Amino acid sequence: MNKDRFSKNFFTKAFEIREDVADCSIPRTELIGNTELTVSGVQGIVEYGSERIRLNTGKLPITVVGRDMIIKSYNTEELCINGFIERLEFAL
Amino acid sequence: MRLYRWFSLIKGYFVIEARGRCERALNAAKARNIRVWDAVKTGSDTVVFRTDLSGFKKLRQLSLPVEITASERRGLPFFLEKHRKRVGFLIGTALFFALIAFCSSFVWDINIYGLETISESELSAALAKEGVEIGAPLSKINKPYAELAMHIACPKIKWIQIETVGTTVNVYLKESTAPPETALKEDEITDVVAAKDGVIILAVPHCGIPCVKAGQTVQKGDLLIAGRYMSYQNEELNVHAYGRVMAKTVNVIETQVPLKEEVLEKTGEVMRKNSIRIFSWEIRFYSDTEEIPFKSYLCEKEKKQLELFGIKLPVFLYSTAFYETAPQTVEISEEIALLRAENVANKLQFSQFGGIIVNDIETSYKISNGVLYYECYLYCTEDIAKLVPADMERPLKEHDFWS
Repeated sequence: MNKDRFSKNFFTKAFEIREDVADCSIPRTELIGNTELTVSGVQGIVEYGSERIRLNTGKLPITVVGRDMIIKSYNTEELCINGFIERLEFAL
Repeated sequence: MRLYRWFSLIKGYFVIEARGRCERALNAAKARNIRVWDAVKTGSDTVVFRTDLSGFKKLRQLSLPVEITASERRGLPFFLEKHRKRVGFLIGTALFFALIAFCSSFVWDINIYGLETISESELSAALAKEGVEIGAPLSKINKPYAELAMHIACPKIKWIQIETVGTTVNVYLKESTAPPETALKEDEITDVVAAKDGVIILAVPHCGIPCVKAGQTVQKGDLLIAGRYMSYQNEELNVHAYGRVMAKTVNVIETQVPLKEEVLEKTGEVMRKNSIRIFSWEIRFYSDTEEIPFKSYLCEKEKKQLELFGIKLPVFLYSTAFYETAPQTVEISEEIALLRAENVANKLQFSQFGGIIVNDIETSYKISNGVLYYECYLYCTEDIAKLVPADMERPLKEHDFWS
């Protein structure tokens, strides 16, 4: 564990700060029911299909598995997926 | 999101079909700050998405291993471009906006807030005299003048504000509360007498000499506080006597409900008179000379204002229905009659004895000759003091109070 990582971990635990606030490279995901997913900090789309979407989010790549999924909006800030989301996979 | 779609339609957008490595097209769009939405995978290597006009231009300039084609163009700019050579359409559009602008210069609706005793029709008539009515030009409404004129027209109005919001006129007002009427002037010599029978609890004279004590029974009209009395020096003193005299009283509320009543029931025959009012023009769908063919009828009036997207339009639909009625005798059960009697008694209690402390209530009823007689005894504590002009003929004596 390098020095930066250690200091971030220390401060987030000591001051109970959320990790996404302390470390901008961590993606922030917001799931509304199982029909809408908003991910901020997306660096790119690796794979796009109506049943499987893989997102490049840097340290924590995300795979969204579901049905009839569409990308509702995609811009520099966030990506919004609509459809029936069955599961989220985090490939470490 | 729906609002955003409306903006997109106004600004115009392209429906793009990307064939090949569609993920790269989406990533490239994001990298160049091109707004992309509603991306749907339609085939194994095809994605359909939407982007705005500038976005499409930028995407076409990129050298990507993706074939990008605009399958559709949607929105207002494309619609106008398509119809730019149609003179009728352009004239129609211009006329439409001109009509909207023209109609927006008139009052469409008037809302009145704060009415208590003044009737709405009375106030509307007064407002109409000052030029504030449906169909009146908004530019002709002189708000400060109309507000002042309303004060003169309706003296009951304490404060009034007239404001125009779009084509709607809102009238806010506050009615003044009339001061209590005092029959007797403050310099008049008065006595305080009992307003009703009761047992005195407490007499608090603010001016004058008390003539009753706690526990004493008084009858209506008995002297409670004297305004004329003899002083220690045997001088006659005349004052404006007043004060509070609390007493235990019994008030009776009597009501009666007949167990058979005659009601007017609808026979089913109906006649309607309909009309439409647009601004101040009224179109009637009936003849003025047309008479109502029923001897006995019930009239129901209905007024409906048309609305468009929640905006009230200056179009009113009036419908007056005349229902033929025939008298019928209906028997009322004892329970319902009792309920009705209780309701009437409660209303009477509220209106007549609203501000009085009621210690106990006793109720009883009897049925005689097809009528339910209901009695309610209220055991109260109340102020029974009543100011009357002093009896100047009353002989003065040294009162017990002084002895």
